Amino acid sequence: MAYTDPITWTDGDVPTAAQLNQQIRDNLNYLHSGRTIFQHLRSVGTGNLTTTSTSNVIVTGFDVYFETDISRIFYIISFNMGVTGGTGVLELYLNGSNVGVFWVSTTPNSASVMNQCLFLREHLSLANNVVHHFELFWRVTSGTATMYCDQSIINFVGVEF
Amino acid sequence: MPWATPNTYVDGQIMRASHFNQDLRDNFNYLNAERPVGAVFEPIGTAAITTTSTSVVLIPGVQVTLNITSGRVLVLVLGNFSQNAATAVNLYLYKDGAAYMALMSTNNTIGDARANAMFPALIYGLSVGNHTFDLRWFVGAATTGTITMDNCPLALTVMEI
Repeated sequence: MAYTDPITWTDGDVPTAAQLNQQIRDNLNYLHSGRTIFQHLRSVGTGNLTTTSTSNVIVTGFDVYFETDISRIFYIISFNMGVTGGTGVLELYLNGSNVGVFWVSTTPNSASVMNQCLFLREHLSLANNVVHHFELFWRVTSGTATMYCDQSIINFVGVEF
Repeated sequence: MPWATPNTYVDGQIMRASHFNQDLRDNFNYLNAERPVGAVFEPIGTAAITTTSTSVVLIPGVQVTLNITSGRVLVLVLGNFSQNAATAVNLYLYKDGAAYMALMSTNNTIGDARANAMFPALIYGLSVGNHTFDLRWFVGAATTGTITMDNCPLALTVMEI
């Protein structure tokens, strides 16, 4: 069952069973276990990803649309990334706007490093079944950046709360 | 009070105090503040955890059990990993005794190099009842894997959402 906006009651209203079941039973059940939990998106396979682009390009597979029902999202991204000859930049866009930037500095010998990003967004559209566009971009200032999916998959977890 | 399945009402039903107290008081209190938010394994002390096992073994004690009613948990793993040879440390999240997700297979931190790592996992569709989550690992031949505890204690957090 989807969440139903609570009724505004007026004096003299006689609640029907249908109203009570919707307002009390179904909305309680929704809040307890029916709420959309957002998404857990992972990179597929163990093939490493690389980029030499100096302008933002999508991290393969991370141009996605998620449906939300409430206005707050906490999301976590973990990835294993190394850069040679420059600095890597990872940027998260939400509905076309940059909402998070993560810089990966040059690491000696192209060593890969586990990285994590945490973001909290609130005041999203407050309505049921709103679709949001998430895009994970990356680029380098120069050189080559590598996502070492053979060492750890890219994890993108978003949770409504 | 624990979560109680909300009542289904019928037209003409006499609403009793027990109905309202269960559905409108106790269940809303449960959702607001009484739901178990999770279980955390966070070891005490600074002694490193090591392994030379080349087959999957439980990281001693890193296991939490949580009674789930919503069917959904967010799992976070935080640790500092290294090894003494150029073979991988392989880290897995297990759910109810079965491998759920490969978290890491990294060999970038050789010698005394250490790397902090955090991994998220979103698990849903769980049955109501107890579920056990733990961390297991193995290393390549002639390798000692180390979880360093003096600068970033290992933590396994399981939160019902």
